[in-house]
Amino acid sequence: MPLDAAIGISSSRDYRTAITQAVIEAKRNLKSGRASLALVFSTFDFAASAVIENVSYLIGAGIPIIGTTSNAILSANRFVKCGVAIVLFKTEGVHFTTACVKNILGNLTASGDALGKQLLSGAKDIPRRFVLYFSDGSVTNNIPFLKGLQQRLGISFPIVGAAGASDNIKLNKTYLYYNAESLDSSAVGILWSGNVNFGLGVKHGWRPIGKPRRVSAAQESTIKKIDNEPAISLYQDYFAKEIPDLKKELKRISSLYPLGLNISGEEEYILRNILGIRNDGALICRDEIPENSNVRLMIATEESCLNAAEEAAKEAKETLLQRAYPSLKPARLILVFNSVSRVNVLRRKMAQELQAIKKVFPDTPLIGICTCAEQAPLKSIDFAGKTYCHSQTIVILAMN
Amino acid sequence: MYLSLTNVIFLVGSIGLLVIIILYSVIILKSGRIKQAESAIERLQDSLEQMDGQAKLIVRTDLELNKIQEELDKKISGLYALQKLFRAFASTLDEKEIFNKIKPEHIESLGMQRAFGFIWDNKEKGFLNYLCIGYSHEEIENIGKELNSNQSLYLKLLKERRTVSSLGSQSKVITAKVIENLFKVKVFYLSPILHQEGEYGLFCTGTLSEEATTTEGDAEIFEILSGSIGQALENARLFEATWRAQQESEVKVEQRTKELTEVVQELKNVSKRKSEFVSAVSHELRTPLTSIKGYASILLSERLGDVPEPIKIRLEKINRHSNELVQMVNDLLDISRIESGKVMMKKQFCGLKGLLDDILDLLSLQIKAKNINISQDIQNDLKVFVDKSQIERVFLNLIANAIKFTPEEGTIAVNANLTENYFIQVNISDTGIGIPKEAQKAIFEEFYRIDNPVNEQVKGTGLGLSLVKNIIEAHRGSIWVESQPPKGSTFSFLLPTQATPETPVASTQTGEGK
Repeated sequence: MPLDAAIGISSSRDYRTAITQAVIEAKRNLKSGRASLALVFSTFDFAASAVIENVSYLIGAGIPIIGTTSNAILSANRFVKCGVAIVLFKTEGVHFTTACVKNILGNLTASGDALGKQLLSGAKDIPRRFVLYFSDGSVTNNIPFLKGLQQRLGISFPIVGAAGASDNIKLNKTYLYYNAESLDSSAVGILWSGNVNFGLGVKHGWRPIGKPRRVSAAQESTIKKIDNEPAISLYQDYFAKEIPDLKKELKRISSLYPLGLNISGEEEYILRNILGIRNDGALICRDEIPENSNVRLMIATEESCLNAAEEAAKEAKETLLQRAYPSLKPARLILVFNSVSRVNVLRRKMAQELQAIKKVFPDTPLIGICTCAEQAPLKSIDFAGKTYCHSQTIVILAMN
Repeated sequence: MYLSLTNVIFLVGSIGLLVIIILYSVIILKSGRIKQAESAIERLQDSLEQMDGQAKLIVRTDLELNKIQEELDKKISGLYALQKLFRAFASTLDEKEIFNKIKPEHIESLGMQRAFGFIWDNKEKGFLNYLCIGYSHEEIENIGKELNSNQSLYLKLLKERRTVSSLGSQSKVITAKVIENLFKVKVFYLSPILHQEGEYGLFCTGTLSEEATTTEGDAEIFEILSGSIGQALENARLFEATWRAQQESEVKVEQRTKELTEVVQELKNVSKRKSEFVSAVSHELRTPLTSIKGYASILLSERLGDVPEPIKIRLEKINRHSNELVQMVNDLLDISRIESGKVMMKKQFCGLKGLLDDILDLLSLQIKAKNINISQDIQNDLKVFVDKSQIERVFLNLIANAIKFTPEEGTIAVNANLTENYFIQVNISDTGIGIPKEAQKAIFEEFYRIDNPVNEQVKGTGLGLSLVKNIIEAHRGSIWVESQPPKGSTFSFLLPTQATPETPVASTQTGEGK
């Protein structure tokens, strides 16, 4: 059994009780042996350094920890809006390296590169499999950081990333856990090497509607003009609303009708949330859209979102089996990074997304968080598994 | 050569012309196709624009539907939360516990992040915080200070008795901005907690962000919630008042019971002292009475000499009255002994019929003298567990009474039957003069005699029925009388059939003249 993972979760509002309950459950589920790695997710209420210090103390000194805060933790059957989840890994024959970069906001590309460098330093001469990293949700453009990481790890190297969501989509402060530290403006990551396998499913469920448009002027994550008109005119045109009204309803409109970016050689459109509207009509997006890109307005239904979750799970299962062939080992852990914006479409049916995943992975432990940004590879023709920055997407990572 | 050159030129010219014609034709043909293609593109463009127009309609409709769905979802979640809260409120009658039932998840389900509930305390003359969700200790303290330093303002707000919010209805006494700053919220609903006759306090819920999706129906939900809090508080206070009243009455009952117990004990003591007194006096009376009787008998026997007739008559009177006095003293002594428990009942099983027959035999002369018809209906196998000699006195007293008050040719009937509680009920009926209703209770008291012609003629001590009652009660039985003057009376009493019978249902109710 090269990799084993056990989950402990508690929704107690008292952080000491929650941590104790979660650690006890995770240790019990691990059955035997000592954990060699811990993944910690907590809700924003528990974002205190005392929390991670307690976790570190309870799971045992010297066990590396990485993790992040979020506005909700996803478990096999529920959304936990206040609580903590701990995943304990036993990694016989599996190699991993954890790393952390602080103060990333000053130079994102260099920070990404630094994280990649640290991760690689611990995995020399061992076949590298994939990187999992968590970053600060207050970074609205994740592409420079990802580029930095890719320039160190390789553009086709599989990277899965997530930024935990907060209650406020604009000021998405996220705390990152690294060993016994609680950090902001940082990124933490883990490079998996050796006898570990993964399968990945990335879907959103949005479909293009209306005619294609061209981004005629853009700078980083700001789209200045679309079809030579102020970018906001696209939304004004479609919704017959003036800028003040659009600003007022931005959260809803941005979640329900994001922009879809067509990537050459990819089947899926990549979605971009609108975070703000400038007075000159420019749109501030989460993550950048290059100039001359083709964009479409996107629309989804509850059904298409639920189908997307199931398809993503199936895709994760298929890719895991393909890579694991011929041993066909079942998944040991399912990690789910689910965009918080999907709540606006699914609302009370959010739990059905988890059921859709459980339909594909009925007996595998599942844990996840709500995210405000996701990074994962798409099925690429041009590049084998190039990682992109996503919005409103569900990323399912199956490991064995 | 010249011609030949001309011909060549002509030939070349012809060919050139032909080429030009062909080229022209091709250009015309191509331009037609271009026009066709342009026309097709234009049509495609039109279709695309039409589709885009349709897409706009779809998107606008979808947005509206999403808003409606969102509102419905929110209402459903809100109603679920309200239902849970109503159930929780119904499970407690403790004022503070009512607010404790409101949990952060309920407030979240209602689309809010913070909640603050405060009640006006009339005794303390101040606002008291009862509910604080989503606030730090410092914030709670600051809000409490502000509420109590501007009490009159917030009391006026309370007196408005209506929900105010950052989105709709505004207060006349305080601006939305002040409320937002006080409760540190961006969007809020502030509802009064009311009861039928007045106001308890205010309940504020709010969000930290302006982006919170609030709808018009929210105000109704929070009004319902604060209304139910008010109702629950009213119930709790009513319960508290009822409980207090009950507690007070229980204390009073306890006090009264204690007083009554003391009185009963005092009565018992008095009764005991009385019995002891009667016993002592009776004993003291017996000795001189015996002497009087003895001396009267000696004189009457004329052993000391002849006694003249007038003296003899007086001596016989002394003797008779002395006997009556002895009988009275004996009865009094028996009553006081039975009352004080000094008489040991020698209980045994005896046949009821045999016991009655002995008594009737004893009284046969009196029965015959008045030609009274005696009927008895007692089964041979009926047995009672009693002190035979004492129960014989009961029968003797009751039947002698019946004979005494039944006119000549009258009837006395005795019957007995088994009751459910291991007792035998004996009924002795006569066709006598009966007992007036007002005297039916008193006849069992000592020395009570009914004022009637029979009693005027026949003397008695007034102790017989009292003695009977004491003997029966000493057997855990009871006695009562039913009478209809002048048709007759029925004395009924219960006697046990085994050693430890249950307490009989019937008890002493009424009595007959004696």
